Amino acid sequence: MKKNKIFTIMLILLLNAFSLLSLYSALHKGGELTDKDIFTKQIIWIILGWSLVLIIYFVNYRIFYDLSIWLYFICLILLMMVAILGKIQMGAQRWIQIFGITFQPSELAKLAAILIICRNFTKDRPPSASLAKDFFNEVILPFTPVFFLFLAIFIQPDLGTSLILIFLFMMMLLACGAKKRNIIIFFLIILLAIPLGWILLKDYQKDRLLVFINPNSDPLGAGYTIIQSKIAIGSGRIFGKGFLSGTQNQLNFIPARHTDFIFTVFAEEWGFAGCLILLAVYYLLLKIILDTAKLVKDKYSYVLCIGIFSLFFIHIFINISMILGLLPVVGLPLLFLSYGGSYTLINFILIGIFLNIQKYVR
Amino acid sequence: MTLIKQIKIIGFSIILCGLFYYQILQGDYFSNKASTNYIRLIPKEAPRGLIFDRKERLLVKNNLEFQVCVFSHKEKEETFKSIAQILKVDPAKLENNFRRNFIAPFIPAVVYSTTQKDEILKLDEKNIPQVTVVVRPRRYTVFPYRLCHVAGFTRKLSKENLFLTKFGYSFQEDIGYSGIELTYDNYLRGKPGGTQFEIDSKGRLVNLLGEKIPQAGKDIYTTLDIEIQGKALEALGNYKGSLILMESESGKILSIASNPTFDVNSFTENKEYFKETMNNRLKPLLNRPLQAEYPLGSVFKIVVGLAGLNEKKIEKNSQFSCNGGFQLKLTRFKCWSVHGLQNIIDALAHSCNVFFYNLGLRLGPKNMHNYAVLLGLGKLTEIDLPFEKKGFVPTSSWKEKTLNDKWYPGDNLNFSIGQGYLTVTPVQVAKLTSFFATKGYLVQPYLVERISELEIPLRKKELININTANIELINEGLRQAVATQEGTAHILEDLKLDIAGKTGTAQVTGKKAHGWFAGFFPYKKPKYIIVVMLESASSSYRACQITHKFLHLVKEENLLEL
Repeated sequence: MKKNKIFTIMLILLLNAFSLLSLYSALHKGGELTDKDIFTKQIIWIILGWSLVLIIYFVNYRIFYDLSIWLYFICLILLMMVAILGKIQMGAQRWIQIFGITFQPSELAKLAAILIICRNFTKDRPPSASLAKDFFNEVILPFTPVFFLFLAIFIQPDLGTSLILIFLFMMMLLACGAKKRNIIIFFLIILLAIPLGWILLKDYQKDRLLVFINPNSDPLGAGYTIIQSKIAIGSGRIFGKGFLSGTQNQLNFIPARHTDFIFTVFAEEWGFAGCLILLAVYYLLLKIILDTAKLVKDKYSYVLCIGIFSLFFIHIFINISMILGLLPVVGLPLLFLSYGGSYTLINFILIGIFLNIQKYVR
Repeated sequence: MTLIKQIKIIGFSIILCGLFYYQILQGDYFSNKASTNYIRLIPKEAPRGLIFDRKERLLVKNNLEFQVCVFSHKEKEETFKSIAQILKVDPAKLENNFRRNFIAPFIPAVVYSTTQKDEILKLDEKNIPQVTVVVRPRRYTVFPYRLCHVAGFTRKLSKENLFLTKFGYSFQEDIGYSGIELTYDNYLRGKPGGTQFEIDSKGRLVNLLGEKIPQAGKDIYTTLDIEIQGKALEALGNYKGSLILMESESGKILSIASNPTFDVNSFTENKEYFKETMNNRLKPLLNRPLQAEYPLGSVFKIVVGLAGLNEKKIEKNSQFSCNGGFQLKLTRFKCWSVHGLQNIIDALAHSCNVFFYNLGLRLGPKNMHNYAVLLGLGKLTEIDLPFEKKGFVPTSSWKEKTLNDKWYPGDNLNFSIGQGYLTVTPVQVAKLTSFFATKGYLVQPYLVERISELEIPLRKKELININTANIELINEGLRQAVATQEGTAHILEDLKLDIAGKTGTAQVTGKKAHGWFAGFFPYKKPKYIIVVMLESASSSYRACQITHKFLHLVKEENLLEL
């Protein structure tokens, strides 16, 4: 198992390297960094992240079982603060400042959601004869805390992140031994809730949400961004244009190219071959997580592995699909590659927990 | 578990297929597009919503502005020369503008803007390559002086506000900076659009790639009456100050005037005028009704009187004798006349200081503070205009903490006639007056009643639990101040509007005193609240004169619904 741990660390280090390479490309002009701040900040985030991994590695992961409730309520309170502050300022608000550090509670919510779902899925509930009660025990009970997080983020409004939580719950539900019958009922309920949710919104809220489905509407809207990002990716062809040679990105064609659209930078400069390598790294990382899940002895670490896997997979899949124009543009970063303090640190915490689980696998 | 593995494999396959399609199958096509990237964007700004008054007269609209834009290309100098020839301007200036407005190579930069159609037509005929003319809306206030504070103005999104782009604002978009334009910016702004198209090497449009039609913002209907607003400014004349006319039951504001004013259109367009206005010593930019804090003077007696009655420190018939002053140890606090025996109604009608000195001593600072705060002083009125100040109501502990000094009995005397540390804004006084007019409700003043089709419900009306009989006693005093020969505001009686009100002369050390008048009418069934505040007017008599002038003008033109 030691081999697997080292392998995991190598994969993450590779992703860090890809991230810094792409960030440098995204931020340079003629080979020189134009926005040094962002670049150095990301380096600091990565270093901080690894220190977090180190700390978590030496603490038994079971501590998160007890911590999860605290983290959940703190997260919920922070989210409500953001919502209220946002209301006061008459605009959408995602960031919050504590001791001069700005961070996004909606990112923290992803971690809180995984941990609280894991806690709920680990508890053994006696099977019930009544169909309704069984459904309640297996699905509604663990879903309730997620739903509150969902609501708090949804009203910010941050449609992308709030939907992630729903997807996350669905994937974990699939893998954690709920009865097929219950899963199908739940999926049906979610399907029915979509039009209902839309009707409940007021006109101006819909308007606002539509803006937030396309957060990159500057300077001219998501549709335009997608055309440009397709050109950038496509023009990379098989071997790419080479490091610092991506013309599309350099010409400011793509907004948010150091965060949500960082994949376009990578794909333009390293081509299909580079993308294959990146996807292989992602694939291997996900494979190790699932393999470990098979080997663990207790249910809690199994569910944790599934949670980490699900969140990582959702971010990889939705981010790249939206950049390729296969999904609508929602503001969602790419796993370990996008710039962003809160998101990077949350990912490192999850990796720390995962390495810790691996430690106990014989 | 196997299900999740399948999902993973499917997900990765989809991504791989997508990449394969774009990078391998379509790679040459896209690569060609990228190398000859002749894709251009022309942003189209959305017009902001219009602003109307209560009779649906247009207050703020959008005019058309023509912008000459140049694409980034190699022979820019030639282009500038040919444009300069037609428009008869300096080509260096055009180049300067180009550099300043350049955002990205695929977005044309503005080099010249005008509202003159003829100039642009001449340019358009010549069809110079790499040049395009964009029509954009330009904000225009129909009544630039009357609305400079209320409607406010917009400005381009500046570098400091660039963070707003995260919230859906686009680069170079107009954004509200003050007044209703700021408070209701979210509704007023539309959704910008634009076109994306391909051009050939000569700058001719060959292929339209996409278009997004801009959507206009929502129209806003205010409670203002632009004619009354005009009369208010006319009445204020050369005085610095404020005039507020408000419906007493609903809080709808018909007029909220701040003098001096400025031309808000020139302010946003003309740099010279902008600088001049910014540096003007009369501070025309200050929205006095809500951003200026003044001592309240004798108008505060209505609060003290009510506190006295409600705390049972005095009764209806309690009397104090005024011999022209009040001796407190070694100091003599003056009254402005010798009034003799006065009860609460007389004292309000004649604005007798001695009566309130006695009452203030009985009440003490805590009671006076509590009633002032209860009736909305020292707090924001939450009127829907930005940058409101909240004034100040002192307490004895505040004085000890910040001024390191005891609260003396003499402070009570000053406090009881609205002098000393107390400061208020005129709009707070309007809210305070609404309490007496409605006999118990604090009514929130507001300006916007409808946004497009969205009717905004009436704002909150806070019921304050105070014995109505006590309020009626105060009101009686206010009526006497106008109705009786000796009343301080008797000159208003000939308007035949049944006004009840209180005057105030607020002393300011080293300057001329401020003049106040706050009242409501008609007395029996109050409909309107009027507050007039004049800076450095020497006495409250001037405030009464201005009130008279204003109400006379408004009444003559039948602008009130009585």
